[in-house]
Amino acid sequence: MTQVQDPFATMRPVELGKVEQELDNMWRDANAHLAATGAPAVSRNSVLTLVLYTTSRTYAGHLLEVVHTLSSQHPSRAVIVAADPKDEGDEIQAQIATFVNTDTNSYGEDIVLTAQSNAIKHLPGVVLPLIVSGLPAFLWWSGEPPWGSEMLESLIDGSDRLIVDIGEMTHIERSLGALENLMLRKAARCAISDTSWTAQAPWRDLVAQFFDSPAVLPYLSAAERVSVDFAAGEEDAQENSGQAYLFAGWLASRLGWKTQQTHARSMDANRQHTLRDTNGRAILLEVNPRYGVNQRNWWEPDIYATTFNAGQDAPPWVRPGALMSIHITARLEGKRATFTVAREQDLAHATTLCHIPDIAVPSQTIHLDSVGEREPISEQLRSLGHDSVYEEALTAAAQFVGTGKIR
Amino acid sequence: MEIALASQQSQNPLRVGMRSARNVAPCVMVIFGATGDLTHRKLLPALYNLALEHPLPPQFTVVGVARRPFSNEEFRQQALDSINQFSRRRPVNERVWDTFSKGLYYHQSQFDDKSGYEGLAKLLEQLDQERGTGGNHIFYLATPPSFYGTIGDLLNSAGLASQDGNGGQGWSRIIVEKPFGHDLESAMALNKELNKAFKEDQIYRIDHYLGKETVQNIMVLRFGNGIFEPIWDRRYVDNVQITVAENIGVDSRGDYYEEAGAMRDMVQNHMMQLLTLVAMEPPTNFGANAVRDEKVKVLRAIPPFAEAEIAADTVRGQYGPGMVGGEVVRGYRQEPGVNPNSRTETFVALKLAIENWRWAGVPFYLRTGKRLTKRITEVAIQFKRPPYLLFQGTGTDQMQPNVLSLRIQPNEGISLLFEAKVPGQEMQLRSVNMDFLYGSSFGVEPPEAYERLLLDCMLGDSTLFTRIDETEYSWQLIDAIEHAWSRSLAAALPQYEPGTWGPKEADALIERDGRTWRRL
Repeated sequence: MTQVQDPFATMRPVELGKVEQELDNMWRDANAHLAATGAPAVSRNSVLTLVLYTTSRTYAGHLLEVVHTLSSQHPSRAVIVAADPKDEGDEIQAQIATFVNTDTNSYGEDIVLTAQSNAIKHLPGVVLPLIVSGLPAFLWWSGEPPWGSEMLESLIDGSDRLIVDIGEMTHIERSLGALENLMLRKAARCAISDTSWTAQAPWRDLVAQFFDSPAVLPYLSAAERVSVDFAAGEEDAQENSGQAYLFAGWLASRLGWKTQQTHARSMDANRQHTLRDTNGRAILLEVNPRYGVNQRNWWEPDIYATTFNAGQDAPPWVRPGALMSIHITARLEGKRATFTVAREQDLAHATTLCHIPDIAVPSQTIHLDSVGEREPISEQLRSLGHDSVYEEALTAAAQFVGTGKIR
Repeated sequence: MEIALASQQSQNPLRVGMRSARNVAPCVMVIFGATGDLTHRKLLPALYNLALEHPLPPQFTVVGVARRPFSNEEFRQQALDSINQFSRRRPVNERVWDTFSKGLYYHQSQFDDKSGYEGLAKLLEQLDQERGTGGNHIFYLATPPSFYGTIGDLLNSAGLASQDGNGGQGWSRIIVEKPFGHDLESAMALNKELNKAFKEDQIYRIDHYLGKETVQNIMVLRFGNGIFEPIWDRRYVDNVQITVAENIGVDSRGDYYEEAGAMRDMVQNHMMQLLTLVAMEPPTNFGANAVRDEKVKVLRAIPPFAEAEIAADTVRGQYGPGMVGGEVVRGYRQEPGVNPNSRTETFVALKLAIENWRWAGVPFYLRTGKRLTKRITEVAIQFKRPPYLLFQGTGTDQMQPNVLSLRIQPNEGISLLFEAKVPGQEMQLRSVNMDFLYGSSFGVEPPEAYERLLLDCMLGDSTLFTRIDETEYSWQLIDAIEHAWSRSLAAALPQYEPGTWGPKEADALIERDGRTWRRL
């Protein structure tokens, strides 16, 4: 039988009520050790509190590794909550650690809270006091949040930003609607963001770039058909069209396209939507799964190693539901133009291709990792306020899948 | 943070809300001196990095111009070698390289051959059609400055220099490298030459120091925080020290250095840029002219040196032979390309005044040199000491003043030196350093200075480029010193031991004022 290693084995268990005090002690000990070795003392400073919620202690270990890679950019207090509803019991246990890496100048402090099923509802009372006063607090929710639960609502109310990943959610119709609903209700105190949205930034940039030229810009308002293909696993497995809809929502919200009609061949795939622009002109939106694409969560350890060790012969993969291609057809004064961004077979590059009568635009290939497709979380921690473009895209996406609210 | 204002806000509705609302227009960058060291080490790797990280449009095209008979393929191979050797993102990404390299072309020409420019004009016209670059051309002069005037003239004759580009479409810009002249007169003459073909707003004088993240951070630190600016003046600041130290010698650059010396190589450009950024008033916005107006005001407020002051407030030196790190090193006069009787300075220390409301009475000490103790560039704001009456008997005479130091390289960052009580029954004070590191400490490699500057030029944003009046005012200041030094040939040119902080006279310069150089 394989022994599963506890990812937090080296952390110090502490009583819940003594977390702050013990952290003070650990910093004092760490600095005493540094002083003894002649190294300069480190200051205990943070720029934010990151609360990370997951339902698996193993995932919590993986995510903590990611948090540590962020620490040189975002020295933080990380509160990692591992709340497994299948782990029966009433307890919440705390473990703490401080870490200092003088080579990379990264440092921070970790608090891991492991909550058993009956104690999960009490988590806000434990987590919120651990948020550092006066600094931004980010709540990073891994997986699908328990929409409508009091625990979720309380944690959001104590945070400045909720970070989710639509790519990790399982029921897109429900999730997009619930997320939009949350966004509208919590707008005054907490902004919502999505790592999938950040990962799509290069795709948005490439599509926008087609229309930067004044000569090409008129084709944008003459679009007739938009196809968004997303990565799907095996044909009978559950698909995640959330990213595709988010992308389509972005296009629609920027261009004032509204949903008119939906033709669904299945619940979550091969959907066609008829949209109308502000002049009543019809645009056909297609959202299609691309089956058989290798998918994994970006923060899982083997993948993470691959991400930062380019050149290794690891099998290519993408985030669940990642964009595979965007294809726009436009017709202006009888002239047909096509604009395509397509992920390459190696899944790491995307190539642009456009055909416009009388206008030369060379093809371009970009390396998606180099432009931020796989490192979305750090970007999320840089901003605090509302991202109105994301919010409008989310609203449009929610309307596409039929669960959105009309503002 | 985008320091410069978006100079080309897109009309494209899809650009709304994007992190960079600025987008680069399709353009051709023509590099004169395409087979030279600067192109090899800096320009091609920087352009590739920009392509990899994707601010460049697919139409972006490079035309290398030089005398060697290269084919397009040979130029592409040279570019590939450059990238694999010098790019911070090496080795090259083959897929990205594949599309980037299709936009690399080579045009063989002497820099003073008129027919070569006619051929260049034809090539650009062809590329504008084939690659959709719209008549937008940037001419990068990676050549000796003696060619600037000729190249400008011949570009003009070939119809390539007009503000509106070819046939009224597109634009033309020209980037020139330092040194821009070797004194005020030559700088003005050079500018006059360039102005025959290009207007001032088409000319981008590059000083790569301004492309460094940490230099730009000086403005962010000062104007993006509420706590520093209120104490950033004569009431609280005792003195400012700017150090640009190198631990290497002149190596193979002896020929160039003989003509330049530390004053022209470092003080006139890089150090004056640091000085003006530290001392300027807040600009009304971060537009190109608003920032540069404020920098020029600083230069105008530096009173010209009287001859007597030059002896007192300037020190020069030259490194002699010695040992660094256990290795014997040559003295400057023994370096290749250097006159054995050279009187070129490899070290300069200066004391400057800025006579304006903010800085009256605050000395600015500058020092730069080669073969010094270590490679470091730093601006240190040393604050006035508080009255220590409260702490009498606690060794307060040994206390350090508060110092805010802005480290430009290496280990880019900011540190604040302040006093704290040593824990215990006694009232004992100790200086502690609070460090904040940028750059490598962020876990990501910051873009190279050239990447930022090339991109800004493509965007038409000249904030981080030197305007002609900045250049002229700084030459005016430097000329006064150089002339005084040349008039007194017998004046001291002390030799200093390699690996030290320069001649003792530099210590005397600051110690006369009851101050010392920071120990770095």
